[in-house]
Amino acid sequence: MRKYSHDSSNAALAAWAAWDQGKFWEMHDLLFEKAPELNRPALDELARELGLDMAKFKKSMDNQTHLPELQKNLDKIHELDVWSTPTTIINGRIIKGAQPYENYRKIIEEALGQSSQRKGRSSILEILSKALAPSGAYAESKVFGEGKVPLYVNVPDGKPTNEPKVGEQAPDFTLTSVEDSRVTLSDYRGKKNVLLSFLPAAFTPV
Amino acid sequence: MLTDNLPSLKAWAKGTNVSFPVLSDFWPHGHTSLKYDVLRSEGVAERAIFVIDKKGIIRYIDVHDINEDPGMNAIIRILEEIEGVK
Repeated sequence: MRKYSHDSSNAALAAWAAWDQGKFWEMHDLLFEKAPELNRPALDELARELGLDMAKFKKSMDNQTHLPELQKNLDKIHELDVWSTPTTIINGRIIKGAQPYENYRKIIEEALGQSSQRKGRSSILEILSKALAPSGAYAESKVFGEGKVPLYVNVPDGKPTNEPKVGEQAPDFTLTSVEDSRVTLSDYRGKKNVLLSFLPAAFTPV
Repeated sequence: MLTDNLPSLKAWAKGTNVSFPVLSDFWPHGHTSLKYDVLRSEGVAERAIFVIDKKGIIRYIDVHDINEDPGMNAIIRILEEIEGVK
């Protein structure tokens, strides 16, 4: 774990511990908000703030339960030699660090020029949609363009360990509705039964 | 709940006259579908139904064939059970 401070390793483990309880993104956002104050007592405080099961959280942190996954990510970072934030990959070219806008523009325009000349190249939209697709987030690596540069998205791989079961508390969420209102599941608690219907896509049967 | 973005959902909801909130799980993509373990690897949600009672407890889970209409009978039965109708 060279080049990374102890605090950031612990912060990553805290995010994984939160993932086990279905609160990865919530923890992720808090970590960025509170950085660099991320020593162990501070992380416990964040877990409390998110209403995590503290016994489970502390056990996960004390045992470094998710160290193997973290190590796997770090090994990948070594392998790709990607240390700068941000590191951007455009059509297989690695751009390290925050660059002036002009540099990105030049590289993107070059990439666009190439793609219009070559048949069968992915459009920028296709590349973006691949990059944003969750399969990309779980995949070990993803090959883009002809540069064969694996993209590594720093999200835990595999499925959450808290697969919902009948008789258990439903994971809470807040989402935006088509009426632009924010809908939170727990707001219905004590008021209404909820029928939650997941659908693969718009314009298919409800 | 769907993983489509809001503009597509708005266009769709307009045509279907649904009387319940239609939610977009677009960003962070599929995050809530993932919490419920119904996110398929291609990035869309399963055709899945969860019934959650007033205490927030899951009472029924049905993950259906993505091409099939799950029908209403089982859902009506479980809601009657929760409400003590029968």
